[in-house]
Amino acid sequence: MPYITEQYRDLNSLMHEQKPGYGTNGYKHLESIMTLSERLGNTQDILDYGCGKSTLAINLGFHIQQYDPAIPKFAAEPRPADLVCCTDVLEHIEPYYVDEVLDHLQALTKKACFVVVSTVPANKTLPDGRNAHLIQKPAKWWMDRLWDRFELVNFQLLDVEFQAVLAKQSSRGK
Amino acid sequence: MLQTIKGSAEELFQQAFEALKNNQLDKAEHIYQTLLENDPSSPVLVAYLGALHMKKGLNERAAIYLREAIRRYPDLIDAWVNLGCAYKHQQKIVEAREAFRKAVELTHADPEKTATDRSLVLCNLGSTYVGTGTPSDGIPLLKQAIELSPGNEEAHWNLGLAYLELGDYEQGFSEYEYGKRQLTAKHRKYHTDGTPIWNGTPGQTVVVYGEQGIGDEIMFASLLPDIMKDCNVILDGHIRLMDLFRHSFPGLPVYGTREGADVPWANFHNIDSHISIGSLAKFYRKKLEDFPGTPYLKADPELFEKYRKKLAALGTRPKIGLSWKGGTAATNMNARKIKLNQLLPLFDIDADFISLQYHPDSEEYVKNFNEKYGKNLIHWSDTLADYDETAGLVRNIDLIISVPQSVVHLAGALGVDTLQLCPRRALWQMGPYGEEMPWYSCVKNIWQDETETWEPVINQAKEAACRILQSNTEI
Repeated sequence: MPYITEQYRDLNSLMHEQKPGYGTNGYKHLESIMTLSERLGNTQDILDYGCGKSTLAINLGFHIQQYDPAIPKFAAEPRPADLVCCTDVLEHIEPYYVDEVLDHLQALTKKACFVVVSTVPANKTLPDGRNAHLIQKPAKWWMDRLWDRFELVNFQLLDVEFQAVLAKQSSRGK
Repeated sequence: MLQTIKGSAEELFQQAFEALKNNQLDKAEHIYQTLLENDPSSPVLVAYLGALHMKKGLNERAAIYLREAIRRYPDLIDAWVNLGCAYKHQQKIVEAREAFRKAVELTHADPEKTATDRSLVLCNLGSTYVGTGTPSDGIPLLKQAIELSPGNEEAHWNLGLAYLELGDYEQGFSEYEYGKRQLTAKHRKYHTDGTPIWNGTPGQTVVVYGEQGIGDEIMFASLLPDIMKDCNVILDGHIRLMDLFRHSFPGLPVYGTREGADVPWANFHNIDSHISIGSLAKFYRKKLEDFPGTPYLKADPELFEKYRKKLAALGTRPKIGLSWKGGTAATNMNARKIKLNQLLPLFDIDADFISLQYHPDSEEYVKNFNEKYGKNLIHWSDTLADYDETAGLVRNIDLIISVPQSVVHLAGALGVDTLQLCPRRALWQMGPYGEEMPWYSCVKNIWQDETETWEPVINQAKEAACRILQSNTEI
């Protein structure tokens, strides 16, 4: 199942290679992720979905799974994990693949999923001139889609982004 | 484009000096050349041009300028010192010693020179015996340098290295530590108000942080099990080694932030103190018997399996890993490299050969070698670009034959039989000139003799390899 076009994957690979600061925000939500890990029984079964330059993994202290289709080392299909973290990623995906990516997140989540999504344009542009945030939608737009796939545990709306802790749906399906 | 320079000779001299200090080397050279046009017989200007070229890394040209400066004014001490350094950088040790010896002579004869000046030149001379095969000749000079100036960190550092080369670990690590603390260690902050350096007190929560090259960090990681018995340890290591260490030391928090400025994870621990990983040796490796020599790293099980299958697909012959180049210009690379065709006698062994040479140009180099000599040295670039993959591969290899470089440390730490081809001018890590490498019992050293050639070393390696592979078959 594709979650990204080949062209966009190659574009992102290039951005990762050429821009040292691209994909380095993962560690910024370290505290929230550590708290969630604790609440899930100190689980170390964590997947960083869209891991970029591994800044979450290097600041966590233990081995986690990393997935990023634009980075060959982390491009293999991941295994489901207790906690899936997807921070500063969803706004970068191609609009055509929103449902596929959200389904993917749902399938990979064993217990909880932590998402942080920007709702405004990025400061960066892609080499082809597009804004780096391919999707610039309000939180409601995203939550309508996430509600279909998860149970909401916690939601925080900030100036330029929202954060949500989502639990695996207990019995009701999509 | 360089601007036209203006000012009195004195002002220009000062400008050049500032430019040299600020690494504006082209600007400094331009000013010195202009000054020289007005004062063509000046030995000092020529000596400055020599120092400048040395700073540019052009040591041969630097030596030409410095010799000329000395020809014009044979008592110019700084020119002798810099000439010694230029020769040392070219690994011309005999010439370097001569130049430093002359600097020592002149400094000692000059009543205006201080004890510190004398200490510095003695340290230069003493340092030429470190890593060049005769460390014991350097020890009296370095001790004398320390007597003259007890705070001469470079002399302590070199004395430490000399002792370590001789296998005197207690004195060696003590001096090494003193010198390193002053010279190289950037102490990291794990709290805004700072944490103290660990002093050996048990029961503390201690951050151990990585230092120096990848090979050094692997080697010093053999000390982690020791401190883990005494303290709650957190490792702040190299990102490339992060997962390897996580697999190898279950329960040890391992962060890959050694190279970064920030340590956001520090807020989640109550840290009492910190220490660089090499400094642990001072506490736990005082004599040869303190080195366990046993394996302490584990490859990722999935990657181990991946390479077991990949190598099995090549057939049932033993697998020999080769690497032929190690170090950097600053760490004696010239003495640590062999041309691949010099290893040809090894290819008589009935085995499959795998390249473990990680440099980016190695793939092309191996391809040309295979074509020219009709060999099949296998080179997997993608594997060698990733340390976890490399560990998975190395763990599956029957025998590694390598010059001193990080793959020897990796193989030793993983417990893979290794023959280390050692140059006459050796680094202390290889051990005190015997067959054994104290850090790893599975690594055996084969040394160059006084001819400093590789042929006898490679012939010995071939014989040893056959013996090891034969005994593996018998088991």
